[in-house]
Amino acid sequence: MIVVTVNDRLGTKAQIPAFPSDLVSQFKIMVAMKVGREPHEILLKRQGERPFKDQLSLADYGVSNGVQLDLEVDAGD
Amino acid sequence: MDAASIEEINKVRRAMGMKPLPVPGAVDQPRGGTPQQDADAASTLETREAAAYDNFRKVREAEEAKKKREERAAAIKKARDKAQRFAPLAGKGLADLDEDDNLDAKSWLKTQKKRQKKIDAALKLEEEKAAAQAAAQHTADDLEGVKVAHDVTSFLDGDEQILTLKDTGVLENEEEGDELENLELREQEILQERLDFKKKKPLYDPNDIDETGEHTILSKYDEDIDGKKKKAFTLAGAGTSIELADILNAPVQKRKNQTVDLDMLGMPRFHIAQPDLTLTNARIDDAPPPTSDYLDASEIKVKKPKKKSKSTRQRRADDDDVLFTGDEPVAVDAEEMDLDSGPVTYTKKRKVFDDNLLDDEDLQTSLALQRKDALKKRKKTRPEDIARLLREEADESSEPDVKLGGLVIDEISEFVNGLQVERAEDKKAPNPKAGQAVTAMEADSSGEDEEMKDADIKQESRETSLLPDLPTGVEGEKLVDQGMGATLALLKDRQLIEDQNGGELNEKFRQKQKFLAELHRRMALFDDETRNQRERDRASGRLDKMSIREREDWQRHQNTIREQHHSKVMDQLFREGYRPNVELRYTDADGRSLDAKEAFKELSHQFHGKGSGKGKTDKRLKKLAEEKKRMAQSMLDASQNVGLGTAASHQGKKRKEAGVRLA
Repeated sequence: MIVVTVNDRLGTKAQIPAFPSDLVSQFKIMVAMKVGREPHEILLKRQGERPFKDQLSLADYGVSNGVQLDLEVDAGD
Repeated sequence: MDAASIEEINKVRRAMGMKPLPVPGAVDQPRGGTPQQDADAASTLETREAAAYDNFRKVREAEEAKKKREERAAAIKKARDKAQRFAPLAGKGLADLDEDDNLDAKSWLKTQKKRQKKIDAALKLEEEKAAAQAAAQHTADDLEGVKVAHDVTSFLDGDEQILTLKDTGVLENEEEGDELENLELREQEILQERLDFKKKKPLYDPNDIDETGEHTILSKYDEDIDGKKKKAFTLAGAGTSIELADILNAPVQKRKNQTVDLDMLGMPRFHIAQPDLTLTNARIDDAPPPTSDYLDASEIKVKKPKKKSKSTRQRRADDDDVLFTGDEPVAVDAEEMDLDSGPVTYTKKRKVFDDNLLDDEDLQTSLALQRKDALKKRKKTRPEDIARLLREEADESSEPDVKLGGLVIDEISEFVNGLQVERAEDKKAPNPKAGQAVTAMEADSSGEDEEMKDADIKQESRETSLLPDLPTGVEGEKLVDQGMGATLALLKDRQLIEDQNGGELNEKFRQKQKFLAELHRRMALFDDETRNQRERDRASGRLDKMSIREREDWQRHQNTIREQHHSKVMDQLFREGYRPNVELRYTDADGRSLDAKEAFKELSHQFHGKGSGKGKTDKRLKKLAEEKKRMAQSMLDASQNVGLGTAASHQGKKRKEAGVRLA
């Protein structure tokens, strides 16, 4: 089990436990539960990199314990 | 992360069908789940990570096992080596005594016979081998039939030359057999060849008469066609060449086209004296050098003249009767011999001289006299002599040359033959085209009559300027009497009219005509309708009921309605079918139609009240004049760049043919 920190740099910061094998889409649901936003509005990315794709797992992006991800609003584009 | 929040999250995860997170406070899940994990091994990261240790261990075990195996194998090998090293050696040693040596004399004698036989057999075998080797030795006889790739004459020097097998591919000349060559000679030949190439010989050398008589037509290409003539000969039995003897014995050249040597005439004595004149070759080769104009000093006997008058008389006698002086035995001998062999045409030169020449002057005069005399005689006898010689030659050569018998063709006769044949062909078969058509070409090339015809043609063409019934001689030429299309094509060919896109124009014209017809039809229809309606109104008696004023009003009303309808219909018709063809035409003062550029120039000049300068105007006028001239010129006038000449050239260009007009 890993704990991932999600931060939107606007005052919202949450720590979410997950498995590395979790898909990003599933992880987004966890995040949605924590931050109070719809899952499809959530966009996760490492700082300065491209946004995560839903079909891949956290392990695929190399997300391990204690990693911080940027949380942004996904406008759908 | 406290347990409560994880529990919370686990709820959601379970709802989503995901694996719940491990809760820290809770007891570890029983290992019952492991077999299920094994079932889908390596499906998740954890299982893969868990499997990693096992894998590592397995690899280590395998390595260890391998190491142990190798150690065991090494030990076995070591043991075997050791055993081998200490094994006792078998067989007889150096120090061991031979059993045979232990034999006594008696037994040795017994085996002596056997031993002797063995030695004999070995000797015999050796002898046989030696004999075989001797048999296999290479001698000069083995060289029989081997080719040598050089001219025989190159070996005549007598130096010792080493021939080696020619360097070729193994299968290249299998059927021809091996060839020998000398490397140095080969190099020399190649060098010679190169030098010959550098010489830049003229292709045709009339002075180069091939004396062997093997004269082919255009012999300079023989090497190109037949390949290089190889100089080669074959070795005969004893290593000598077959041809070598021939070459050494035979005369240097065989002469067949014998030129008549004028110097030969000085020694007819020899020919006559020889009863069997077999070969002209022999005669020429054996002939002594030509006699000089001067006598040998030994033959001249100078005597002192007693009187001067005697010498003059002597001279006269010389001049008058040269043939039969009667007092010279030598001359008589010569004549007798001549009688033996043939007609007498000459006599031996007189050898009678005055013995009484006083001094150098007299000597000189007498010498001059004799020279003159000899010269005269020579001249006198020449034609007969030549004839006789030729006859003899013909008689002799007819026997050996029977099998040759062919026609001798050299370059000049070939050339002349070609000329004659061509002329004959010209006379016999005139050009088939010329038979049906009088072309400008033929008119030019043949005699005066034709030229007059040409002139007539010119006049005719000037009258009609179109050549109505004149065949042109050019294939596929259009004639005016074939119709309008042909005429147009003809004019187009001569560039008298330009090619407009007639198809489009025609289409436009047709459209316009169609539109006009439709318009007329509708107008007529409309008129008819109007008339009919009026008739109907009149017949119905409706108008009778109305007053005049009412009637007029009503009719006006009707008219407006009709007009409205009519204009509507017409409007539609115009909208559909009316395509006006707007074309601006400008003409200059002479009535020539101008194109846009010229028209603009003209208008501009008019507007500004100022024309081109003198040079430009002159140029333009000249161009116009030329064009006019071209249009007016005869089509058959070949000298100008107009008419048939251009037509032909245009057609040639069209077909992409190159050609020269032979006028």
